[in-house]
Amino acid sequence: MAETIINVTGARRTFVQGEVEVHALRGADLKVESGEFSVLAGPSGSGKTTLLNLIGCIDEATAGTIQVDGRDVTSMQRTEGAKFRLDHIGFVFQAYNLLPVLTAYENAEFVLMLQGVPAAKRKEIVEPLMRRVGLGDNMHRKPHQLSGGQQQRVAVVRAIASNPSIVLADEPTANLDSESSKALLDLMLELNREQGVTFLFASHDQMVMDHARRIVRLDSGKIVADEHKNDEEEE
Amino acid sequence: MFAVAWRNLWRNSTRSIVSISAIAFSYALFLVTMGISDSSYTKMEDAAADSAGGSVLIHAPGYWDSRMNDIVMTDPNPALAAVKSTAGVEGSARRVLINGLLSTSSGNVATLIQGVDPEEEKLVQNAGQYLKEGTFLTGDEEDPLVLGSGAAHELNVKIGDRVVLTATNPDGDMERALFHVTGIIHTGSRQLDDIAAYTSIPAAQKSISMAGQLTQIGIVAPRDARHVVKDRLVGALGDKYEIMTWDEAMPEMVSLIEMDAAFANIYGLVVFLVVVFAVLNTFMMIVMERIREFGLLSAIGLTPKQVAALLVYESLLMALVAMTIGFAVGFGIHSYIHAYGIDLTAIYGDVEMGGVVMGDWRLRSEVNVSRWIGATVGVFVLTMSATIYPAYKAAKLTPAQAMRFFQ
Ligand SMILES: Nc1ncnc2c1ncn2[C@@H]1O[C@H](COP(=O)(O)OP(=O)(O)OP(=O)(O)O)[C@@H](O)[C@H]1O
Ligand SMILES: [Mg+2]
Repeated sequence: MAETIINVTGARRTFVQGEVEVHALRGADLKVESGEFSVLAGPSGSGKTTLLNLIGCIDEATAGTIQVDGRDVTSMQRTEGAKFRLDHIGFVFQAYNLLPVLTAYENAEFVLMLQGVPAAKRKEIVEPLMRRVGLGDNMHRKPHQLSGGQQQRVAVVRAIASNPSIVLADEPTANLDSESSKALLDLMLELNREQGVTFLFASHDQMVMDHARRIVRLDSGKIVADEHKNDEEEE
Repeated sequence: MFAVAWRNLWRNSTRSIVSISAIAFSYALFLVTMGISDSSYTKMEDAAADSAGGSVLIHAPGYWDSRMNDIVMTDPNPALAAVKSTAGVEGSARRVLINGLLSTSSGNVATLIQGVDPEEEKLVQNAGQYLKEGTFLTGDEEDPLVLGSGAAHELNVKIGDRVVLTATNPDGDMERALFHVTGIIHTGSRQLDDIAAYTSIPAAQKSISMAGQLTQIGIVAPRDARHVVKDRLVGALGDKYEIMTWDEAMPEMVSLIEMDAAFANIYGLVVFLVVVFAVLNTFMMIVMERIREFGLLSAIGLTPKQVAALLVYESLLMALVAMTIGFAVGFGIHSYIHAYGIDLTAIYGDVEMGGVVMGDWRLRSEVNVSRWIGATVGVFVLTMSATIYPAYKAAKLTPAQAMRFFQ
């Protein structure tokens, strides 16, 4: 029986821009269990990023509760939230994921470094992962010397290296051509299967939806559909 | 983290170099300005003291305000003895000062004739250095008279010509005395050249029957010790003499010098503000350009404090690099100016302030250690505080807000 990692109930997020209120999320309920490979889908502006940010504890909900790993993240202080993210959540963003002054390897081990893992141990964890994602020869390059797809793979290694409960990925393929997108998604799917990493995407990329085993559809800030695919169907 | 900050500093190297140079330049400028103004302050004080006739002056009571020929030290020996035995006195010059009229068949010049000993004067006014023609009171001449070039012109005299002095003696009687022009000096200051008139002490005493008497004793003492020296002399001599420091004698000079110092301070303040502005601007730019990066760092688990610390490290490193360069440059320029000076005679010609000639218009530079330390700490503290606002802003954004910044 898989355990529930994410439990969102009645999440609302209203942005106030001057006089105007934008209701980005109008009450969403969502449960995600460990081992999932799911995507939040929907048209632009439907609230995918907003929901993902609330789950990732990098934005503050207007109402509702959000539990991650059994902890209520909506009530956390900034510093507490940062520490929680460090240990429980991995992030892969659309672009600019890496610190430009660090090499690919240094970027990949950055989270472990912040956690205070000793260098030797970091190497033990990160090097095999870098080889696993096909970056064994490019570890000491700077981000600007890597392709977009390679940069995203470094971000994936950084996200999973600390063994978080869930990896949140917002449009990870949006800046990639379809070939690189496919390679990246295949890689993440393999990591999901082999190592049991839980992934939650926000994307309107068809290819992401093709790879996902569950598609949660949003529209105008509400969850309008929740499809689970069968594994057989997917093959 | 420190390594990340260090590398961040060099990432956008053009911007870093620009802001480092801005800080370094302002700091160097600040040091140099301070060096020069401290030096010119010193120099002005010294020039003022010399022009007053010494750091400390001794007269008979009431002389300085009236400048009357009959207020003289009838027995200067106790005063001379006290001067000799007072600690801090570097030298002294005896003077006989006569208010009188110099005349020839061609004209008259009303002036103050100074009976001086050229050796004693070397530490003070040293008018002998401006000698253009003839000799400056070698001691062999009889009734010698050294005139300023303007006065000589007015009287239409050359070396060897005769000049008559008419003046009242200490008893209040009119006396006439004959002098021979033995030298002509040219200081470059019209005001001085038009009235300067020197003779020897014995000749002056003889001319208005005041043998053995003196009008003034000018004392040379270290700049900062003048008040102490004055107090010691007052202690030794009581109120039988009028004893004053140069700044008490010439209060108008003091206010001129203070005004100059005030301008230097305002200038320093402006330079200081430039430093703050340069740093603030740089760090605002750093933050704005990198909001997204700070959002990312925060998202992956850096606490707000750590984000702020990263920025503070960056500014710390920038300040250290910039100030090391700035100090090297500032000290280098200071050393050059200290050694060679900057000749401003071409720009200013001869400048007088309140009748004092600033003869040597060569800018020099001096290190006032406590002021340099103060400036260094000040620039450093300001540099660091200029990062507080941007660091605070960076730490305050939620990661989600930050990440949206350039989307
Ligand atoms: N910080 C913000 N301030 C104001 N409005 C915001 C903010 N963030 C999001 N919104 C608004 O909230 C709504 C939902 O935005 P969100 O980014 O969640 O959409 P999305 O589904 O991720 O869209 P996309 O596919 O374009 O990424 C949009 O109308 C957006 O303009
Ligand atoms: Mg989005």
